[in-house]
Formats: sequence, C-alpha cells, structure tokens
Amino acid sequence: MALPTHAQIVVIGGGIIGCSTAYHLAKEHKADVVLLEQGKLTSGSTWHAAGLVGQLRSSASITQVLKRSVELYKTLEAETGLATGWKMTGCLRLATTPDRWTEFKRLATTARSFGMDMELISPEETKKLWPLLETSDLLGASWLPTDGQASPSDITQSLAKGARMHGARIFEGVRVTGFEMDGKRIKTVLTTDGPIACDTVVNCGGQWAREIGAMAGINVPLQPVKHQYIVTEKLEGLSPDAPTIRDPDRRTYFKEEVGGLVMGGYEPNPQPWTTGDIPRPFEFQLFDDDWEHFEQHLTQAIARVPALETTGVRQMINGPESFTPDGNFIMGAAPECANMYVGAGFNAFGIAAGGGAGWALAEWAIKGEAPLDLWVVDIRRFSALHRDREWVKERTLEAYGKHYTVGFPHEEYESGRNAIVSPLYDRLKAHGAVFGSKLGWERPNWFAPAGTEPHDVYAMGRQNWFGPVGDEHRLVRDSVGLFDQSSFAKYEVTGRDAAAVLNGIAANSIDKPVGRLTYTQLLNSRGGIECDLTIARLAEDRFYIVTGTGFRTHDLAWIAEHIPAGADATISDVTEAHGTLSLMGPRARDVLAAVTTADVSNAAFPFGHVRILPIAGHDVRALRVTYVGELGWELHIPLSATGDVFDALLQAGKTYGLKPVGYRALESLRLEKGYRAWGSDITPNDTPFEAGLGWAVKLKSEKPFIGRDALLAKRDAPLRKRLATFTTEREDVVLLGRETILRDGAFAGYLTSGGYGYTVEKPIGLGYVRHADGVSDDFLAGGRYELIVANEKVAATLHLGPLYDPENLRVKA
Amino acid sequence: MKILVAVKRVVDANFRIRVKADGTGVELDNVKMSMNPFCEIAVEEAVRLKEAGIATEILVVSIGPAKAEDTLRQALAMGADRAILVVHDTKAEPLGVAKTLAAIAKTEAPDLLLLGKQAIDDDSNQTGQMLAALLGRGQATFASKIEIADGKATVTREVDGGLQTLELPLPAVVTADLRLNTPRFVSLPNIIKARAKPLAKTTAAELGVDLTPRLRTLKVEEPPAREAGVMVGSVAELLDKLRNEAKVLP
Repeated sequence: MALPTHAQIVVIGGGIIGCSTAYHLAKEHKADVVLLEQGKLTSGSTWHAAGLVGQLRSSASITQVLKRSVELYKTLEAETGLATGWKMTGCLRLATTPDRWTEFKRLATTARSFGMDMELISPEETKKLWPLLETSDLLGASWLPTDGQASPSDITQSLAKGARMHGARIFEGVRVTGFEMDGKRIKTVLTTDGPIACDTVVNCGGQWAREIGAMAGINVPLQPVKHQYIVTEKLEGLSPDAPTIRDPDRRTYFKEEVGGLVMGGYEPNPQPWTTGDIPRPFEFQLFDDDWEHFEQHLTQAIARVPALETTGVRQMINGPESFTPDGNFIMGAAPECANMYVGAGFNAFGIAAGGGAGWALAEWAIKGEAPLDLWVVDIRRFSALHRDREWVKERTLEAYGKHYTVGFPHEEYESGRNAIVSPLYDRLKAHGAVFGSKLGWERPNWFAPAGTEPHDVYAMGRQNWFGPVGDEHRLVRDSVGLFDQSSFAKYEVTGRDAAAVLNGIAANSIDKPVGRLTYTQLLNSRGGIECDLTIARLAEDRFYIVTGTGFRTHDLAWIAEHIPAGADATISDVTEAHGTLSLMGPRARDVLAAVTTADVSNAAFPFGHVRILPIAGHDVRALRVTYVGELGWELHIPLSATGDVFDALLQAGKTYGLKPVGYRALESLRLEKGYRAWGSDITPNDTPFEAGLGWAVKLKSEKPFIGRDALLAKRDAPLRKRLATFTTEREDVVLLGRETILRDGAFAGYLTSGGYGYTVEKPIGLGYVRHADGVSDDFLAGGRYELIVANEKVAATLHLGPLYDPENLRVKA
Repeated sequence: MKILVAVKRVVDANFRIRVKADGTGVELDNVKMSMNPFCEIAVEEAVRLKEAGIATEILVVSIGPAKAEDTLRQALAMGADRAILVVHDTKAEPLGVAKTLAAIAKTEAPDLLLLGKQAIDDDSNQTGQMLAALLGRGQATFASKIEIADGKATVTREVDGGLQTLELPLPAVVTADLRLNTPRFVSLPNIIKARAKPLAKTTAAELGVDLTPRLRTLKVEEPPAREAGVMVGSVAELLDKLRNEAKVLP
C-alpha cells in the first residue's frame, strides 16, 4: 500500500492512543484517516505497559473518559474479533495509616459522586478477596469492583483492526520528518516515505510527541521516566481473577498475569530518561534491569505478599513512560499551531485512558471543541514556563514521586519554585507570606503572624493556616485588605473591529461606553462556559481583559482562535506589563482617596468602571470590581511601579489596619459571596443558565455570539441541574469539593467547591443539584439536603442566593 | 571444591540486534543488556553442584564495563558466592579474556572452570578452548551433562550425530551447551541478598594481561531483509515454485 498524497486527518503514532483515535475518527466520524507509525504498532511504550485499568480520577469528566475505555474494551472483541484481554477483576487499595484511611473515605465519596460504587472494607474482607495478602497492618481497603486489567498490545491491535475495518489506513515504518507550514497551519506532513497534504494532524507520538510537536512549533511538556516492574513465576493459590492491588503506603502495585504477579512501584527518587530527543530507533526496547533502584519495592512487596519469598522473577521490565508536571495527560489543540491536536503524556495510565481518550480526541479534532470539560488535561493549561525542559523534568519527577503519597488538601509542589515572582515578593515575604505556586508564579496563600512558622503544615483536617486566614478574611470584611494579584493573566484587544469581535465571542454585551467593565462568560457551541473573565473598554478600539492566572494560555487561545479571519482585531498578552493589587474592604475608598487626587466617590467612580488614577506619581489603571464581595478596586500598575504603589497604600492604610492578604482568604470570601470559580464551579459542561449566570447573557439583544443558538434552544426547557450553595452546621466538617449531595436521601449531585466561611462561621460548598425532570426553585427549596463528607452523612442547608450581602449593597457602596 | 564461572554481559537475547549506521559494530546505546544465556546455564550448573554438596564455593568473573556488575549480581542472586569484575570499557577478544581468566585461575586455583560455550553477541566460541590451552588443562566443550566424582569430571557433549562422553581429571575447563539445564528464576530475597555479597574489582593491567585487540573489524552488516511472501493459488503452483524458484525440491 503506497502512502497517499492527501488525507483529511493524519494521526502520528501507533500506540494505544493513536490507534484509539484513528478508530474513533474512522468509525464515528467517517473521517479519511491515515495513521503513521515510525516502527511497529505498540513498539514505543504501549507494548511494555502493565495493563492496570483504574477509572476513578479526581475530575468527573476524566472519570467519565476512563469509564468509556472500559465500555469499549468490553465490547471491542465482538466488533473486531480480536480480544482485548479485559478482565473485570476489581481493584483493592490498601490503607495502613489513619491519613490514608481518611483519604480513602474521601475517595469513596468522590466515587459515589461520580456514579461509581466504591466500598471500604475491613482487613478480613480484604484477605478473603486476596488470600495471599499480609493484612495484619491494614486499617482497611477500598474496593472498586468494576476496575480491572487488560492486555495493552491486544487492545491496540484490536483498535487498529477496527480502525482499518472502518477505512483508516495504517502505515508502519513511516516516520514523520517535518511539516510544511502556512503560517500557524500545517499544510503537509513530511515523512520518510513522502509528503501527505492534510487538514488536521493528531500527535499521539508518546514520548516522541514533544519532538513531533516542536517541528510544528508547539510545546508538549512531557518527560520520559524509567518505570520498572517485574513479572514473577506462578504463585500457588493466586486466582486468575485476583483483583489488582494498589498498596500506596508501600508504594507498590500488583496485577495477576498468567498465574504470577506483575509488581511495580512509584519510588520517591524516580529516574528520568533523556530531557533531549529520544534516540532513534527505539522499537520494542527496554533499559537494563536496575535491581539496585528496584530493591526498595522488592522489600515492600515481600512484606505484603509473603509468598514472594520463594517465587522466582521471570522478567524485569524497565521501560520509559511519559510523565507530565502535574500527573495529568496532555490533550487538545496546541495554541501555537492551528491544526495540530495532541494526545500524549499519559503518566502510566494510557491503557486505562486509551479507549476514552481516543474518543475525546477524535471529537475534538473533528469539531474543534472538546466534547466535555477536559480542562485538567488540556494542553492549554501550560505556559511558556513549560518550555524549560529542566523545570518540566524537576516538577515531573516530584509529581511521579508523589503518585502514591497521601494527597493532603491544599498541598503545594516544592520543586520548580520561584520561577516567576511578583515585584512585591520580598515585601510580602517580610510580611510573613507563605507562598503557593500557580503556573510558575509565586503567590501568597496566607501570611503567618508573628509567632507562627511561615509554612504549611499539612493535615487531613484543619491545617495550621486556618486561624490566620480567618483573621485575613475578617480584615477584608471589617476594614480593608490588600491582595497581590499580579499573576492575573491580562490581554489587550485592539483594532477597528475589536468591539464587534469581542461581542461575538462574549455571552454578555461588551459593546458598552468607554470606561465600562463587563463580567462575562465565553461559551462554546454547546453553550458551555469556556472562559470567565472581565473585559474593560479602554477606548473605542481598545479592550483590556483580565482572567485567572492559570487560564492564561487557555483563554488567550480561545479568544485568538475565534477572531474571524480578516477582522481588524488583535489580541496580545500583556500579563507582565502590569502588577495587580486588589484593595478590598469597606475602608478601601478611604485608603484610595488618601493616595490619589482623583475623585473616587461612588458617584465619580461607580462599580463596573475603569479609570486612570494617579498614585505615588504613577498612572494606575483602576478597575472597580470585586471577587470578595466588598467595596474595592483592582489596581493595574505599570510593573516597575508596583512596589511604590504597594508602599503608598500600606502607609495610607495604617489607620485602618491594612495588611496584605492571601489567596486562601480570597477563597473563603468568594465562597460566602457565591462567586463561581472557572474550572470547578463553572466549566465547559455547564451553561450560564445552570450556573445561575443567565443575567450575564445578552440573549435579548439579538446580537449573535458563540453559544447563542444552543442557549436559545435550552432557554425554555427545564434545567437538569442548577448551582446552589450549601452550608452545614457541623463546624468540624472539612469540605473540599466532590462531596455527594443528597436530596431527600437520594443522589442529587456533588460539590464543585468546598471551604469555610469565616463570616458565616460555617463550612460552605457550591454544587449542582441534578434532576432529570428539571430543577425549579420549588424543587430546590422543597428538598431536605444532606452532604456525604468522607463517607459520612451530614445535614446541610441549601441556599439559592449568596450567603453574604445578597443585595450587593457592600459592593456598590 | 571451588568452581570459577565466567559470565559475559551481552545484548538481551529477546531484543533485536541492530548494526551501527557506520558499520563498525553493533548498537549498544539504549539497548537492554543481560547475562549471556550460555553463561547463565554455566552459573546454574555450578549452583546445582553446590546444592548437591559437591561444590563448596562459586566464584563468578566478568570482564567488561562497570555495568557488568549487574550481570555479576544476577549470578550472585542465582547462588554464586562472590564475584570479581575486571573493569574494561572496550571490546575484549576471546584470547584476552582467556588470558585474564587464566591469571585469575592461577591465584584462585579453582577445581572446575565453567563457561558458556559461546556468547550470543559475537558467537566466537573460543574462550573456553583458549583458556584450557593457556592453563594446560583438559577441556570438554558443548556439555549437556556434567558429573563430578573422585577428582574427575564426566562430561556428555553434543556432537554431530550423537553424544560423546569424556572423562577429565580436575582441574578442567567445561563449556555449557543449551541442554545442560534450565536456569532458575531468582527469588526476590535472593536478589536483595546478592547486593550484599562480596564483589571485587580489578583491571587487566593489575592482573598483568594485555587486552589490546589483535583483530581488526572491517565491516559489520545486517543480513539482507527478508522479502515479502506471496500467496500461491494451488498446491501445484507451490510445488512449481519450490522446484524452480527456491530450488529446494528436485
């Protein structure tokens, strides 16, 4: 079969992800697909995958994707005639410490929230399911009966056959050598066997994905890490249906394989492979056995499965697997290239993800939009920082090393810190700032008062910052506080058509007079919320956009790719041009008036406006807006003047006790006010109607915008879910998000955010109440609510509006 | 009785050998390396002799790069007692290896020297023979059975057309063939214990041996790629092709 000269879609990579993508493209979209594999199918890293298939992740959408994998693996053989080796053995996770047990209780709750039945079982019950286990040190285990295992190579061959049956053409031994570009667009894929012109490229190159991406100018920040496991001889008494075991406290996992065990682990000192290009060829290759490094797992494995004392090791597998800086895989449209989609960096759960990820990637590549909220795996969660290979390596190794550690709430990474600091870093540190990191930025989470150690002490319950953050919270509510939010992503959109273009992208009307601000969502074609941001009109043809730190690449790309061809509108990233200070609290006006000659009265500078204020000799762009529910201003300051303005404000604010305040206080303040956070409370899965943001949608104006048709179709239909606020009187309860919502004792959804409100003095959660027949006000008000928190039912109260200042009097004061 | 077993680190038998692009040798970068399978059989035989109460000590020796320590540890995990690594980073030829082993044999004075019949990387099949000559001792190559009694080794060897049995006075050199035994899989505790067993490092220079190559490699090339097969329509066509194209039938 000769390589064609044209194809609609070229999929690069014949591992499980590439084959699954080609299968779904060919079958569900009848696409004209060519798959190119440089070696043989599976020969990169799929062939040496251990084949455990777990489904539960901390994101509901990703869990849904993994469930889809299992559905496919169950049924694929009937379609293709090639078995996948799928066995629903169930999965046991073992707990030996109280913190781990708490983690499992939360995990079981998350599972229930996501529609999976995870049980927590006793050591005795665990022993019954897996008699060869040593269980004397166990507190218990979690048991997810629907997990299992499969054969990576068999699945891939079966998918490849299915893809061919639906018309995909698969070529082995053909390597991509470059791309012919037309600006940001790939025109032609160049290969060792000749060029292929195409409309879309899907890069499923595994550990080669970074090199392949680089040839089209995109960054795929993954790091190959040497992952080892052994395969033993047969163990007497091991059932072929034995559940897979994850023993995180011993950092190891087990899986039955032809009567013996596969055993591997996630060590705290992982070994990276190259940070450079992958040597070529590297087909069906492994590294040398490294027993010295693996010994830590051997000792732990023998302690857990004593029969291993006398069992021989048939084989050691030491192969590279692609890992990423946050442990999540990488999917979607790379912002630097108009028509390359990526599916790579699967962090050793490529087999679990493969079936579903191929489905999602196929949808994405065909429609240009992710089929559901895939933010946690979206390639647009990265930034320029992730082009630094050393940084990516260090952070990835830390993430790998934490694969099996207890996941404490609010945990921060330790590697790759201080990559980007605000001009106020040293000043904040002098105030006792304890920093967290977001997209490389150091941001103050909280400020340790005198006598408190300035670092987080992690725990499953209340942590050491709980008290100090309460003081910060109250300072903002009672007087005034100052947030350094310099890490905010900021863009400028300019051009004759800027207003028209933005109005066509934003759900709210941004075509307002110069000097006005608009809070708006940007929607996808399904009416789901893709971005949540503020747009200020600086001039007739100039807009200033502010969005969350982590959304910098994502939001920029979303806007840029929706600017129609030929329109006179340009978007540029000006994040580093401005430091940002948010002065918030009932005394904010007093402080601001003391540092500027401008009139900052409510009449002269009302809510929702932008003005230039002279402060400390600098022109400061002030946005009257808030995310805490108080009177206040976001001050956007020429970067080099940020320190001067900070000093002037603190000096002027002395009378009111003004102090810097951190992001954890921001969280409790916004929860009380019911302000939504994109990525958790509002996502591409949620419409503004469902999220209670219908007031910010310009449906009446007849002006077209992305998502309008979808919203019109839904306007008169009953809402199947609605966002609401929940509180509980149980002060000791720790809400983190993903807790199950029960209405009259039945499942009704789960929390998307959780925290504590220091003014209302209650734990607070936000979450969607779901009901297939519609969620009306009466339905919401009519129920009796409970939350399941760490596997325990807690009485809860539902609130339709904000808990704090529902009239918005303070904001508009 | 003391047994010296020589082991070699080679490209793992399960992986495809690739010739370097410049034709100077075989690609060893990013390739999984393991113990030569015939060496593994030799180690297994030594361990069985020890388990049978015949041998009292097993010394394993390897000549190779620092990573050859992994190969020696593997032998120790199988049951060898101690190891010597002669650190040598470039290619060692059979004569050099034989001289090195002979030098070690002079100080260690083993009663039996067990080697694999050949290494799967260069297929030389010379080291055992050369070693016997250098030591002035008897040799039995391609052993499929070894019995030790009364200071003598009775060795069954596989030869064309049948089996030949030799009797050799000890010390002697014996090289292992495929059917001598099936090596064991090592257990997890033995892998851990092997890490604590003694492993001494030395160099050929310290042993007074010159490992400078005496052979010059002119060219290494891959065998020609196999041509794709064809589907034949009938038995008659198959026979015709076997006769006239493949010329394997008269």
